Amino acid sequence: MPDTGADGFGAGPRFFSGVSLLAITGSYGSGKTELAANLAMLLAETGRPTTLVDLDVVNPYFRSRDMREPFLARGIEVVAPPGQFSHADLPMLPPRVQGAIEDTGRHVILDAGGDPMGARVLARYSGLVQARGYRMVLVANSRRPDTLDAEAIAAMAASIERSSRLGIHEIVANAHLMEETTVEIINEGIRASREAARARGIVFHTACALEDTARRLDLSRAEAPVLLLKKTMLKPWEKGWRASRAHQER
Amino acid sequence: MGEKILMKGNEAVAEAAIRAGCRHYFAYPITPQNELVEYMAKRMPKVNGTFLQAESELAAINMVLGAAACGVRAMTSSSSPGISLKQEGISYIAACRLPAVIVNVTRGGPGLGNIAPMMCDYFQATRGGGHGDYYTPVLCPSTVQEFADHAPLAFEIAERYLTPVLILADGLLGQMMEPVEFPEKTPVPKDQSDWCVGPWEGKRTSHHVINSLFIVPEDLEEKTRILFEVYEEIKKNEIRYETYNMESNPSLVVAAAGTAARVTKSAIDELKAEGIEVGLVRPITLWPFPSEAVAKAASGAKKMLVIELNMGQMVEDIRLAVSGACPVEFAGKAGGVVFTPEDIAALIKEKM
Repeated sequence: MPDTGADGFGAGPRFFSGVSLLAITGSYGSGKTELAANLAMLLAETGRPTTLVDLDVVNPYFRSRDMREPFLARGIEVVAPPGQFSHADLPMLPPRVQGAIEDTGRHVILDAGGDPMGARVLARYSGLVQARGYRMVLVANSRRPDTLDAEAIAAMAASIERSSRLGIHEIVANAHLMEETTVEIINEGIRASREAARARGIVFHTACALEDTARRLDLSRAEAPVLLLKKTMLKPWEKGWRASRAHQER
Repeated sequence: MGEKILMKGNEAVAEAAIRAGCRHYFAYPITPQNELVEYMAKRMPKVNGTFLQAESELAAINMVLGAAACGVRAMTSSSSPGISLKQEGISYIAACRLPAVIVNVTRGGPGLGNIAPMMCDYFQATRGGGHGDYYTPVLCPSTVQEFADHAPLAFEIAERYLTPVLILADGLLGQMMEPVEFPEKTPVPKDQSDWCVGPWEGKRTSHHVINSLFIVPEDLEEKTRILFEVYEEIKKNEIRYETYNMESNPSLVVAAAGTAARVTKSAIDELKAEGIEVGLVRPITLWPFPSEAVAKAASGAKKMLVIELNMGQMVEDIRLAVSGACPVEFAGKAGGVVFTPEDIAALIKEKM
């Protein structure tokens, strides 16, 4: 069943009911950045001023800062190390991160780095985030080596909470094997995430799948609502890669 | 085969090495291969293996030498500048005739360069790299699955010929994720009494002396002669390559390895849809180089185009292999800037 959300304008804003700041965590490769990018686009489409903060100081490639152009074109502010520093493997946080968190006039998405190590950056801002009010989600791909089952997902949630000094409210199932994803894999992820959420006493509501995957598969067989994502993180041999990076290469 | 999981190339090669029986890994961190180090740090204690973050790249490669001399499967990894630092040790391992696996997830150079996916260590990898008269077999994967498959293969080649083996992948392959599965079987260990220090009760009467210092010129000459006999065997048995769309009798053939080959394949598919047939020859072993396969691909072609993520290194081996049978042209990108399929399709049309 497609996830249309209770408020009538899509599943994206559901994550923001009652809050205007969403922190997205998970193991690296869980699909955090895809979810962050898509939610930013959904917010922008509904006319909300939106800021996407790239807090990934762990991954050297495939970060939201690598594709600023489509965000800028939609009026989304992208906060990441500027210019030449966006290619540096330095744990560098621009001052605007704090400004963005304090700017309650805008919706804010914090795209954390992978694993408890990447989420540690959030701890630097945990006081401000708590003062503003927030929701934090864990994105779990049960085909990634550190989150293969419910127990591992729950353990990942616990250690990310410790390192980020923030609480996780919801687990989002994003089980996939890229082009080789099947409905069985999606359901396997839904079950693992649901069980992990139950064990931690938090919410499980939604699974994710790429639109391309959805076209190929019968998602009416999915055992939870599925939020459809547009693929934004491309590889050089995939169409549109250059255009997505145009801003950087100028 | 087990179930498929989603992994970065760096993680996949680490897991595959462990499954291939590697229990001794020594390294010093550097981007863009840190996930390999992290993965080993996480997994080795769980399989009763040794993970050791050395104080430097030099220390790490010499630990590999020591471990290999004791008869265990040992591995190190780094990225371009770190691999330069390891060259002295690699030369010693080659001279000592010890099996070892070295992974280079390359970055932009020269110098400190950057962390982008440039494939600019081809010369270093294929010409011995360190000092002295030697070579190392070089495997060059172009998918995450192939990167993983190269780990057991590298240990197998290393032990069969008693040589260090290099896996050369660019940063993109290290960083990107793809579904991967691991073979259940591990390479059968070779009789360690062939190289291990020993003692070997019943098999040998004395220890092996692991050494690379031969003061008498005739002794060193003899050692080098044996080394080059082994290299001839490796050339005979271990050359690997892939061809793509060659059955279409293309008039233009691209030669590319690693990520460049990956992008080229997408371009070839695009062009095929437009009715333009282009072939690809992809060396998988960069040393020994698949010269005969390249010559064969060139023999029916009007032109060969070499595409590299550097300013032109493999093109020299291609020119030697083609040996004037057809014109060889080159296109490259430096700095870690990567071709897109559109770039390559346009280039091919221009060259045709």
